[in-house]
Amino acid sequence: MVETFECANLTKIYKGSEKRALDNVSFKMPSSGILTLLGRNGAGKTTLLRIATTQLLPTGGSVRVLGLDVVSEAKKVREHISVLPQEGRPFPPLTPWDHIYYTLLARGLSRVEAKIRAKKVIEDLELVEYASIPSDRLSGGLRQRILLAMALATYAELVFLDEPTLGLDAVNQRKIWAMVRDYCKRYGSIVLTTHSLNEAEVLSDYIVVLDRGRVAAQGTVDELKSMVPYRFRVDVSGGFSREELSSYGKVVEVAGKMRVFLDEAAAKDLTLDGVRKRVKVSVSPTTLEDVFIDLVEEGGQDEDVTEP
Amino acid sequence: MKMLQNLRSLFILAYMFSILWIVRNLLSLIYLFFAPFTVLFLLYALVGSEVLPYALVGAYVMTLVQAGSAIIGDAAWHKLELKFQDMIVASPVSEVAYLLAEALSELLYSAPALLILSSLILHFRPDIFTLGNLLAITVLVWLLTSSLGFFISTYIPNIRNAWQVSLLIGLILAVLPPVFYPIERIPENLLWAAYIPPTAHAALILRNSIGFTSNLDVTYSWIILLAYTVAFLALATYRAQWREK
Repeated sequence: MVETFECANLTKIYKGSEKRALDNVSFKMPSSGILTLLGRNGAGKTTLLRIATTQLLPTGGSVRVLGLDVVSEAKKVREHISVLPQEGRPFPPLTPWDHIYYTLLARGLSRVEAKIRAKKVIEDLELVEYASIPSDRLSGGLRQRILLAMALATYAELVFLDEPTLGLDAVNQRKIWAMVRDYCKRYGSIVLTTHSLNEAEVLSDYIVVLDRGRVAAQGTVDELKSMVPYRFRVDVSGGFSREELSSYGKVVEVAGKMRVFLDEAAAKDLTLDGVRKRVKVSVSPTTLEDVFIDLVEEGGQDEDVTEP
Repeated sequence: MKMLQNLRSLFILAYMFSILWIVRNLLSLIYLFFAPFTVLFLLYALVGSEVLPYALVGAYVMTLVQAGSAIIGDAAWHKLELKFQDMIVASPVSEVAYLLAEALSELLYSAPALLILSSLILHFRPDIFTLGNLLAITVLVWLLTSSLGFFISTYIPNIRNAWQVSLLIGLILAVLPPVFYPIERIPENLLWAAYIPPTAHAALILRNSIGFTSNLDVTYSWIILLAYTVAFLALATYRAQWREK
């Protein structure tokens, strides 16, 4: 079976830099669906995406997209992919329709097919009333939707979305999530990068966590959650010393509050003790965010290994 | 089939970058249209009508250089700021089609000024020989300056540098060399330098075709111009391999 997306020992060292932007990265997208690349700033997500979309040469290792090697079969790869680059912008005086319709024509679609697709994606992304307004008169969220529409209207077998909801409000984020999910059902698979743990948890079929150019973890959301030994977290506002809390589980300080990661029995004990002490406590299952922080917090500061 | 598809992509992208842009924003046309005529007016006011043939040829070559060097700013903008080039790389559009689309769009911006200037040049010698020379020079200078511009744009780290380098290229290729003035004005010990810029040869050929001959055989100028065009096209095509290292 042909893998949708696969990296093997992928390494990237930018010219003039000694640091490895990607260091022996290996993973396989197990099936079609949505693969999310998670990582801190400078973890190597965009570098990986640029190599996969045939824009950047790797220093070592290989990347295969739909079974095709991105270095030796780049032209074939390009026929099957599309990309939403990070922090892209539309042409100021051109309208959403201009962007979508003409880029589809440039990709080789007939006028009729390009019109049908442009119309459909404009409706799906709720851009109808803005379709003929120059993009420089539209809000940041609408501009981002134009770029997303350009990528999704291609019906490519594999679409790469580099932080597709960056700078969008919660309502727009949810609209885009629905659109991305719908795309996967109808047309193809998606590889996305995001800083939003919530987005990753909602959308991903498979997650690869990158940390300083290396794969820190990979798996489904549930598999990643099972990697941390604590299934619950309890937030406590005062009433307990750090030493007292550490007898229940792992304690971290979050925005002035104490957060304790613990198992089910300890969570019950701490909650009851908190109620007895009349202290505000809140209990919830561990989230992907907790897992992510647990995986990458050892790294210290961001390592922005980007193009020199 | 692939060739036809690439041609179609080229014209669609060029249309998107220029005609569609001009239709939606007429202001973008104004500078490129007026710039050569302001230089013409300045020279006419300073020297008089005898300088007109030189000024016309100079303005024509300068407009072509502007069309070519503008690609530095626009290609860098499309790549660095809009990230449009990233979207095109990850598509079936070929790198050469994209390069030529950028170049053609710049020529389309300059087309109104070039049409007026060429008809004024033809006024001096309205024959097929002059028209042929004009067309050939247009294609060669457009191709070589666009290729040079695209090649340079791939090394530009930020958009401000792109605009600055674009202006610098304009000065180096259209103002300093003997484009607006006869090459004989250059001191003899510096003549070798005057023959280096390809635009000096383009101007020399055009002046020759309307009856203003110089000491140099224009055959040499054609050969030099052609060699520059082939060299810059090869460089640009090499750098337009999409892939960064």
